[in-house]
Amino acid sequence: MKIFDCMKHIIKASVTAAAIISLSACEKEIKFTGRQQETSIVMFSLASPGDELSVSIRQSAFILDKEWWETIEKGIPGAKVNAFIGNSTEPLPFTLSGNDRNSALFTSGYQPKPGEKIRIEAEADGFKNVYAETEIPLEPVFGVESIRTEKGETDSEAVVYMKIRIDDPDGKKNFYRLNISQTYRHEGTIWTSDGKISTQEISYGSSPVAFYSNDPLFQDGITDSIFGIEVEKELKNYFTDSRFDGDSYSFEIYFPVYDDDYMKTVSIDIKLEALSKEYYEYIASLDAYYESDDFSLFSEPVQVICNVKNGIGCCGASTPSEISVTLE
Amino acid sequence: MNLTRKTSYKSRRPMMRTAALAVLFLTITFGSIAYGQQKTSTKKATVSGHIVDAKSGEPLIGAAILSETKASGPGNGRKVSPAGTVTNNFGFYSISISEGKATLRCSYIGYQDMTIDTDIQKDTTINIKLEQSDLFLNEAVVTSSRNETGVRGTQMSAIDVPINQIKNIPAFAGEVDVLKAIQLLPGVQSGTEGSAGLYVRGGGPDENLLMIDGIPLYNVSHMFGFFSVFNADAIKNVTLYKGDFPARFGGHLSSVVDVRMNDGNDQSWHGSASIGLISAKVNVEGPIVKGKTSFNVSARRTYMDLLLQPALWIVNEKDEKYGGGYDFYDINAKVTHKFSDKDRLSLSFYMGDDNAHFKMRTKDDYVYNGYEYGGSVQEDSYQEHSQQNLKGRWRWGNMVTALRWNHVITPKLYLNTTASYTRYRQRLGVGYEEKEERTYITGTVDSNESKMDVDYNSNIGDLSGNVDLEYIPNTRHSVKFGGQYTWHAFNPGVNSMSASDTSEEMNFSYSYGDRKVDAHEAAIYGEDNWTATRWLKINYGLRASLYSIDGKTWLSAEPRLSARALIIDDLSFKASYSEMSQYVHMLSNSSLTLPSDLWVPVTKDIRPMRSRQVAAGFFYTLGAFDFSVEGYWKTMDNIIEYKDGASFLGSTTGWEEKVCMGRGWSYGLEFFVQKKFGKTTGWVGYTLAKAMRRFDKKGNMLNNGLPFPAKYDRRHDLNITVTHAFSKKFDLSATFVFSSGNCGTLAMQKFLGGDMGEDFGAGINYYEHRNNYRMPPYHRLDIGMNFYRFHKRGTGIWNISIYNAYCHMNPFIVYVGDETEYVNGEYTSRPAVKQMSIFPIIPTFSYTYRF
Repeated sequence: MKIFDCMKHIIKASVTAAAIISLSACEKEIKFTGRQQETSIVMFSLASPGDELSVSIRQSAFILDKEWWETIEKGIPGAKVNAFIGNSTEPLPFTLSGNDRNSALFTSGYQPKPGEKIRIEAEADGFKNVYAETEIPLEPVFGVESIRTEKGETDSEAVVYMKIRIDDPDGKKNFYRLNISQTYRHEGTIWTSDGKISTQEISYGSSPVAFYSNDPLFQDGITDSIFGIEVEKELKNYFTDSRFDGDSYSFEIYFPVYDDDYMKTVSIDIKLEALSKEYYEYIASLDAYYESDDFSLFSEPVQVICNVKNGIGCCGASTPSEISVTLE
Repeated sequence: MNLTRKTSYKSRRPMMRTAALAVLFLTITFGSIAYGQQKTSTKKATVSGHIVDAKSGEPLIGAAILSETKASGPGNGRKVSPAGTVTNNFGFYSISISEGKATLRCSYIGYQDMTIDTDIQKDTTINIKLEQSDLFLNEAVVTSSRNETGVRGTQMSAIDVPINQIKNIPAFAGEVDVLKAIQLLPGVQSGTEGSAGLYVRGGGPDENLLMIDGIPLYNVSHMFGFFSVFNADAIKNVTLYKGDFPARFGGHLSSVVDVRMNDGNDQSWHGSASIGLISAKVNVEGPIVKGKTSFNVSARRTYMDLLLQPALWIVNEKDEKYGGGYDFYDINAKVTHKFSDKDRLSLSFYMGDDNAHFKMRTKDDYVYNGYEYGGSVQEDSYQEHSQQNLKGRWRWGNMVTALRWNHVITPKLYLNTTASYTRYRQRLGVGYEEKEERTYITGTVDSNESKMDVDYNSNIGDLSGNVDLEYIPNTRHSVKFGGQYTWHAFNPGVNSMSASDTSEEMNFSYSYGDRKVDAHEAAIYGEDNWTATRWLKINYGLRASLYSIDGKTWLSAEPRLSARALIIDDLSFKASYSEMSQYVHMLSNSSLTLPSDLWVPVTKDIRPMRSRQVAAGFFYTLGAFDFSVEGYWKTMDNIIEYKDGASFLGSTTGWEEKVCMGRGWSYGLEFFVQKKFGKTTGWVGYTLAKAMRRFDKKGNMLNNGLPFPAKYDRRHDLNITVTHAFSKKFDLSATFVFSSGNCGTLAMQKFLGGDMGEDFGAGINYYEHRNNYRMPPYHRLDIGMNFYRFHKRGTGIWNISIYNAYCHMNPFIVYVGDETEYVNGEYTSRPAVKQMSIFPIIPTFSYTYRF
């Protein structure tokens, strides 16, 4: 009994000591010893033919700013924004829309054209001057080669298989983004208390559609695999012309659409955008950022690619081309 | 037409370079040997043999032998210039001296010098047995370092670490560790706290060739890198090469760690057994046939799994039981047989595994009453009994076996042939089983059983053959040449899955996985250690290697050159140049050594890595102290880094898409003072260094193509380790480590991101560039004490070690997190830089009995 009691005390003391040691070996706050960076102008602009050229100007927050979520939403009302179109040395001025402290949108009244080069500059007191350049891509050339509809998994949906062809211009690297949306008809029914239909309402709506594809075009990018078991990653709707530079390329996509008496898709809108290199790199790196962990023992954090010199953000461009296909 | 001619020239370029260098090497070698032979006027004879420990018969590596002769024949009685050499890795020496009376002086650190007067008239075999010095009876006169890494030799950027010194270094958790000792040398960085990874002169952890008895090992870590696989009890000698690589070594860019095992005492039985806080070890050696056949066996096992059991007993309940644990073991074994003075055969074996396992069993009893849910009958009522079992096991480890034959062909020509097999494998298995039995009130019984098992296996195995020859034609040349062939079998990963369910009548199993890949690697090499003049010694060599995989063949020529100029007897200047190629990469995460780290071969897109290194320095010996100051510049091409966000966990699927190929460069200055023998031994090493990376090629861009510091770039690194033997009964050792902080990537700004800044509420972290932040400096003090008690049949040793004696919480990881404060009556949160540490002060003790 004595020996057992002694053993119990030894075990308790060892476990206590081990717990104290392990608990003391954990995390603590330390003094920041890096070089505190000045906050920067955060500039975003997406130039597109037919849309007014506008720029959003905000400021970044230092990582240890206690109220960073307020700081990053603040505009810089006193900022001066100019753009230079092509070789012109005449600045195109921008004016701020709104007058509260979070107003950030500067508009110009100018509509850019495909092929134009644009340089946007911004300056503000207390910040380094920033600038970015982009080129408006030419309108992409594409067509729908074939389309067929099959029954879906449930009675209320069908699956559309669509083959799309892109004609890629030669001479430079091109970047694209594909969006599909559907226009549907909705029949609303109002029943009376005795079980009879009193009113039928027909309305139309539209919504974006997530598409799927087995084409390698949409499989590029980092796949994840853990001990040989592949982890599914979300399909990306943007791609480059690396597989078909200067050639035509066809690929098939498929997606579900509404198909019952009350809700039926009547047409599909296919929008293919040609993107500028800067915009493509920004959205690709932003997606990778969202999919990664901020802090991980297992990987390096993702740097979101920005093209704003001396600042943060992206000034890019996109030129859309649209085709609408009627299903009914 | 022109394109074809260009392509063909490009593919022939490595071959032409190799051929040109080979012709140059052979011309210089044969030319200088022939010239040397012509110049000799006196008749020569060769004295050769083995130098061994007198008590154990253990061959001594790097023992020095010097001869002074008086010539016979023409010029009779004239004293001839002394000739000297050192023993090779098998204790063999060969020295060409003038016929006549000769005095041979033999010396080795830790042993008493021996002088032999003899009269040499023909080729003679003289085997020498050296007695160990007792430093408490007579502080032995330590001769200056005559071995190849000392002042007199051409070898630079290399350090011999006596195993006794390694055993005295205070050890983490009481486990003496060879790699942790190497991390204390200048030019070598450790990775994270506690990790056994080596980052040598700015290189990565996969750029080190770690060998046991000349056989490469993969994944040399136990317990996620906290311990290495080398059991110090089984080891005789450790040499680290950081540059100036001898031509016989190749395949890795940054370092060679050459670990030699004990052959075993061929005179009498000895051994030791020790028990510590986390492991137990045993070592036994002795003769099978006295003087002819000896063996040495060492084994080590941790018992952390046993220590965990009491905690599990406390936690476990009747219906919920947990089990699990972690352990690792090592076995080293070697048998050596001496057929004669000319022939020896040895068989060595190493095996070690890590094993992490867990299990969980839960039971559930449930009663359903049909009335409770508004039903009118009780027929649905039932009693259900279910049991769930979950188990997992993760096992990984190495196995190495080698058969070696040493043969003295002639007194001037020594042959070493080796056939070996090395294998690393890991297995992960998870199984789940569920049993349900439902007994209805009507008496009906429903039962269901479902099972699922997933297994994952990956391994890499090498079958190799080596032929190495040493030829000493005269006193001025020592030529080494040979060839190596390795068949690599890469099996990156195979999954087996099986599942069954009796209720759904389901039963299937299938396997799938990455493709197995075989590769062939071959190399031939030649090097000559040429004593051009008394003050100038040159080592020049060439290694030509070939790697063939998937129909693609890579060829590379790796010239090696070093020279030593003796300024005065104990002061020399050395310079070297070496090129290395590496054909395999290790896929690993950035912070920890995981068993899931995989070795993959080069592909048509991921080319072989290549390094070039220039080094120069001064070397000085003063009594028992060796001083050196050495500078280096190193470039590395085709190194890989992972893309932002990419990670690996045990799979090579699509690995080429996750990495970028680029280049690196590093430079530094290393100061080193070492004392290997005496009551006080140890060393002081300081390194001032910089290591950078750049990935700026199209499709392989990191950090926007701008240079960034390497992950473990540390500007300053200071290591002091000292052991003092106060008496035969007590010695004290201490190690102090200081280094600048590691790099990490921290966001310095946040901005409103989303698609063109419109995603309100989403603050995006902005990382200006990779590795932009320096962690706080790392420093710690370790103390170790040995208390000896001498018994009739052996010696008992109590060891007390304190790791991190003043409990400095060193950074393991630094990141930005939230700090909660209680301000003005409410809790608030603010961002803060945080540090995670893992090892506070860790006292340990162990007891060893040596017989």
